[in-house]
Amino acid sequence: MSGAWDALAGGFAAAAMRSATPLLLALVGETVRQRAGVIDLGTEGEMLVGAAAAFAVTSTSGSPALGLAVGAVAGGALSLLHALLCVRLRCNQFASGLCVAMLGYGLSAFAGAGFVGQSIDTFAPVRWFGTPTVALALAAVPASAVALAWTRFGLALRAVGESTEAARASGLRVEWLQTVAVGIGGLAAGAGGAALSIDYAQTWAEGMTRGRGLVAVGLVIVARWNPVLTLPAALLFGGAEALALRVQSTGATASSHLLHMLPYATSLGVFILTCLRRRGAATGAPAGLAAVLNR
Amino acid sequence: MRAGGALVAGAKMAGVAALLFVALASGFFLLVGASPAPVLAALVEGAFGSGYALSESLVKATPILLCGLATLLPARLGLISVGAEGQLAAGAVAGTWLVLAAGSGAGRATLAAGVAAAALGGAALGAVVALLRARLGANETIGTLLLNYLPPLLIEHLVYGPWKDPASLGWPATVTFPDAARVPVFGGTRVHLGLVLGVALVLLAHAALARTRWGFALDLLRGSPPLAARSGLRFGPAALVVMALGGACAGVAGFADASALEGRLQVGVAVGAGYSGFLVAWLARGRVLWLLPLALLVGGLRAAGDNLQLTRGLPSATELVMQALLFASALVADRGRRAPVVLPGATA
Amino acid sequence: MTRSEDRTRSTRRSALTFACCGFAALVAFASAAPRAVAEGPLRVGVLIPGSKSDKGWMESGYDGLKRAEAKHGAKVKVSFVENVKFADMEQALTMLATKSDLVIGVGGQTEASVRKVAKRFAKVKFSVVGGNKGSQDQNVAQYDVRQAEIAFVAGAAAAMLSKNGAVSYVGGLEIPAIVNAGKEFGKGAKFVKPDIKYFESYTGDFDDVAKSKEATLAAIAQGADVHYHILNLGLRGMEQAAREKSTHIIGSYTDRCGTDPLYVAYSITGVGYQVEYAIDQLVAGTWKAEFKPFGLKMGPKSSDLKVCGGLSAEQLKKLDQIKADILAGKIQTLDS
Repeated sequence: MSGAWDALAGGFAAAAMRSATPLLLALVGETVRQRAGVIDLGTEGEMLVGAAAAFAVTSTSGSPALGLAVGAVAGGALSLLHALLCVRLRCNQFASGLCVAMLGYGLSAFAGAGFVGQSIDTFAPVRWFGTPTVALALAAVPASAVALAWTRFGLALRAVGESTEAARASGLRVEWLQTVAVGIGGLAAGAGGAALSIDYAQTWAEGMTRGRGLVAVGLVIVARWNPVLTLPAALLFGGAEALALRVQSTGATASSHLLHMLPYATSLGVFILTCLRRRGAATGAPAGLAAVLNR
Repeated sequence: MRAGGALVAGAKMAGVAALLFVALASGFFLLVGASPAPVLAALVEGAFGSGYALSESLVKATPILLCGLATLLPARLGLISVGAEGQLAAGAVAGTWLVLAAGSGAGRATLAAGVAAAALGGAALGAVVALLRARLGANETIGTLLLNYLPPLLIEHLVYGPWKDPASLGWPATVTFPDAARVPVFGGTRVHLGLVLGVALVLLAHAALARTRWGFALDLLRGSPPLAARSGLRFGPAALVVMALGGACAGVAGFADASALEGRLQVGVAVGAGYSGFLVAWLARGRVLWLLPLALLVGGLRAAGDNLQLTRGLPSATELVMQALLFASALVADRGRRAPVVLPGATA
Repeated sequence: MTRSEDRTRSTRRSALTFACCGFAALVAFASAAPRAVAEGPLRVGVLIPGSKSDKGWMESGYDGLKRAEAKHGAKVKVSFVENVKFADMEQALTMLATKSDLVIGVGGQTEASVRKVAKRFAKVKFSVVGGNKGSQDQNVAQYDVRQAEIAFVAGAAAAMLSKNGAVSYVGGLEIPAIVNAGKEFGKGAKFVKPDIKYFESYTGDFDDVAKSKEATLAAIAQGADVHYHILNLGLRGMEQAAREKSTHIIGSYTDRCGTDPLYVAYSITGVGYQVEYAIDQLVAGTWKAEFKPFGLKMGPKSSDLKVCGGLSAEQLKKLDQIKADILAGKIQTLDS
């Protein structure tokens, strides 16, 4: 029995954190976006293009750092479509986001087609964190919290998220700020996807994020739009995934497919619990976003 | 708003969207180093260029049509549900369970029961989301998207595990359904009765939404909540009904495809039809009848994907990009329309 | 209800009727069966369900396709589709069948769809690489890779190469072909070293990198230091685990000795060889609808084990002896 416990618990925290890292990056980015009043279901597509681009670049150049950077930029570029559609053209944010998600899925599958199953040289290990992407994700949490709370830019973003009319009245360039917020989210999502393909899995496969982007959008609500709370939220997902993987190796004969449901069921569960406790998805949301969520 | 005016405006918008789509698609093909004209021609040929191509387009269009309803019905209440993907998988599971339970005693009644079970399975999933939205205010878009991942995993578990056909030496699947329990196909094609069912449901939905008190109640609840409240209409039960009905349609789509095309449940049944259904419902802008030609269009797009690979050497993911570009074109062409749109319009 | 609304309703009604008739006409038109044309060079259509660059089964098949193309030059015209999802296989095969004299499905997962489509194209030949016995259709040939057979030899090699006396196997789906390979691997290991420790596990997914990594790490935690597998993309996970813990892997499908110190041996399974065989037979006019077992019987390009180093001449001789014994029937292995 102790052997099973070892298999389960040994290094569990580290495994959960590694599993959570791609999600955490996207989650932090989406939190910034939603604080500015924009919800982006296209996060999934942005993560995927980031993953594909990063993998392609790392595979051809041999530099994972370059791959990570390019992946982030790819995600940011795709997110600008979302900004165009829903910030400039005032389309419905959910539809625009889903369009971006579809496009991201298709583009990444297209670009990654020649790289399926290739191996790459990945990051050298970093002390304490394991890999640089974990460090990046962990740094993003306090960085975004500080930026939102204490910088002028963060204040402007939050004002826009609360009320676009009031922000416009006080002279803020609403569309520009929202576009920048969307772009920041895209960069983060792209980086998250890159972390997934060149660090966590070290491979590329079509659709490999498997819903992490959508989970990120849902978990922003669970984190009550507070950047600091994104870390425990992401760890819930990462922990569930690590648990699901490890139960198998203890020799327990649970179906691997049912176990695979655990991360999604967990995310859905906390999402529901959050809505239950706070009487609605939008309670506590930036007012502008609440309008989008409640319609 | 006059019907005639809306028709003209709708046609104009469709024209703009079509032009934009061709432009974007051509731009994309140029970007990846293919010349647009032959590729677009190959798309059209692969979708409608022969009797066989057309039949395959119809086959692909069938679940898309039903999933379009699964999105459109909730949309009439203002709900944005993307749950068709999970609902069709749930329906496939429920219908398969019934057929397997009937065992050797299966007959035509089993087929009907299977379809009913599938409808219930999909409806259950839809109802859950409706309850979450009505009681907890949990946003249904996020709820359905997260929920979408669970039923396909359940299918994997069942098909690779308890329901695996022990005699199947190759890839795992359930035992083949007895012939009587399979949805019939037309002639030598793979087009099956699910198409007729889908068309019938679309016509039914159109009539119900346009002419019955129920349809009017939905319009009221979506458009003027205070007025609806004063008339005694409540959001919760209405949401439950539309989400359940929509889910039922998607559930039937999943089971019909599984039983007609393969005659058994396999992993990946009708995958992608849910999202394509969402696209089609959005393109239809709430007008139920438009689901018919649009589902055929998108179905054709999906069917043409492999033809593109063979004739022009483009990866199969091209058709996904095409769907997304179509979506984007429609969204852009739609902007600036201040007239009330049936689907939830722009915010802010 | 105003008159204009009445008119609109009747317009709508006629539009509806027209649409219904149109739909019925469409279905009727669509029922026209596809026709096959035949003339000129021999045409071959190949369906690769996965990615042609997966460094595994599919890539081996693709390499075979290319070799055949180069070998036969103008006599054949080969086209292929890759990354075909299960639900699209029937359509892809039909499309290939209308344009080909021979259609090849690379992988057992194509078999069900191939058999269905073959019934509609009686004049076209179909070969399934990695096929199963089953009933014999008049225009379908199934080629058995006999992976379980070579897995036995791989197990023997693994036992010789293992320094801890423990080896492991990770399979994808738990289907007979994969499970048999796992069993034979264990038997082969025990054949050389009766007290060897052996761990096998199935991740339920050929392509899941994280699962196969976890499974390999679990085996390593129990002492395994040589790993075998039938995985597709999931192999990347096994590689990561082995790299982290400095253990070794026996690769499969193609001999890549010397390219990666992680791999101490490679089992050769000639997926591409079978594709070549089918095309060769077509060109020679000797193609037969048959269930043909390949394996060791068909030579080293069909099945073999290549050790990259680390074994003595005597040990290598023992491996050769094992192969000879299997061929002679002295050692019986499970069907693939």
